[in-house]
Amino acid sequence: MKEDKVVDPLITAKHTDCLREGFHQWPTLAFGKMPAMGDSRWTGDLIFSTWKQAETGLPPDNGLEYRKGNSGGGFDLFDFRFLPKDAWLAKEIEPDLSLSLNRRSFDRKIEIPVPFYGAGMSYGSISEHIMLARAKAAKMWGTFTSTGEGGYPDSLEPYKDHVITQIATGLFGVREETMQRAPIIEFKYAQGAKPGLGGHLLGDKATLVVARMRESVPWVSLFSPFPFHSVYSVEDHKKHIDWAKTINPQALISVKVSTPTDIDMVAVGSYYANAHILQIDGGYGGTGAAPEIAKKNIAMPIELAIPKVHRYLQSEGIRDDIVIMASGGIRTADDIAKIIALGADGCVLGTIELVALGCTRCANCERGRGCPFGLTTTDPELVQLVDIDWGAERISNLYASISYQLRDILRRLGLRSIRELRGRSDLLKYCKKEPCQDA
Amino acid sequence: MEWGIQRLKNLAAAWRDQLLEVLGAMGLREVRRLRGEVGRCMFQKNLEEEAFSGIEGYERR
Repeated sequence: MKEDKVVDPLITAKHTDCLREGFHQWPTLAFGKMPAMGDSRWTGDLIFSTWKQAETGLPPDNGLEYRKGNSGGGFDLFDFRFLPKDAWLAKEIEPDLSLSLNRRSFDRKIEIPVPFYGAGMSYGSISEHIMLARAKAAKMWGTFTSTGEGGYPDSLEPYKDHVITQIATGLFGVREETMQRAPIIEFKYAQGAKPGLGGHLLGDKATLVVARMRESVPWVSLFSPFPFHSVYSVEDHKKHIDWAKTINPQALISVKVSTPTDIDMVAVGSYYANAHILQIDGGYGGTGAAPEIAKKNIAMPIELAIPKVHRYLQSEGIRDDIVIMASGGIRTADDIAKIIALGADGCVLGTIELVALGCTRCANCERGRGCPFGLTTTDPELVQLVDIDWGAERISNLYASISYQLRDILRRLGLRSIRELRGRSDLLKYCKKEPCQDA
Repeated sequence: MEWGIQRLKNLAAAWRDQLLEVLGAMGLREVRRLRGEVGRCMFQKNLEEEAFSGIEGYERR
């Protein structure tokens, strides 16, 4: 799916070397901190520490804050109620991080060794190199990544057992043969970053290959509408799932929704429509392509939605039959553990993977040629800035660091499995007025 | 004066864009339909109380 454009390899190599040198040097703090890097949620420290984890596979040890941001709300106000040191699990005990993605009595069982997988990012919003790097990392870890809505490039086929394919409202690139490849099919009803708005790929990024994949016209903006106009009830939703299951009877079904006030009802509806996984996408995710007013003012942050859904499903007696995956604003291993303690089963990671590959959160994802770091771009020159193997290694290192930190948190809480943490909000403490001690 | 006019026009255009985004997300075709729709608001305090009550350190305010 490459466009015919000659890119001088020497220029690419020079540019790439400079970028990688920067990703290596800045987290060492040899040059101090960049005053304008990041924002209150994704602070400069969090960005640098993610780069460090992507390089070393371990959390930083040079004083970078890698556990919390500075937003003054949500995850940043929580800490864990760790046990006294003498009650921690012994070092030789390795807490289990595995997660089953099908709790129903029917359909195939799929288990992933870590409680997270990659979020849907479409071909067109990100480059094919990034998709391949994510897929390769997912295969290395036995977990999943998602194609997003822009189609399933054939280059992903070697990783097909680790690729979720998405069916979203625009049906861009949805083909029966790609649905048949996927072990999990994801219906995207809404995105937390822009609930009620649908997707939007600006014309500059709809290049020839992207348009071909999406069966659209090159250089013309693409709107993925909201909502699915064929789904206005649980029954319609069930028909949708039946359609996908007819094409691929082996597939598990994931349903991605945003966080409206009645998210608990949406969750029950998805359960009765026979979904295996419910992905609840909070308002802090999304790239720079999502409108700021939507990210900050529509629907709930994920940490407010998950407890509501968890408790409601428990009261209905169906919590143990459906897997709840949280996404949208998960930045650190601590965030993963916190949202699981609030009631999720696992997490879906998107932005953090891009940060591992060099994203600085400059929010220019949708403009012109796209990302200056070669991440959210379809420009054939910029795409060359990320080498697939380099990218896969960075994401894999990030996963290693997250797993290490999750095991450490579980050990300190005296838990042998991440499944034991689900819904244990009694293991959290809220620190509104003063910083939590001994965190 | 030209500078000032242009600044105000830009501000109005930015607000217009943002209003269109949120109205679109609510499925409303005109801003008049939004009048008095308090039910569309979510109050952080209420949501937090519902989600976090029972967690150590969180006080109902």
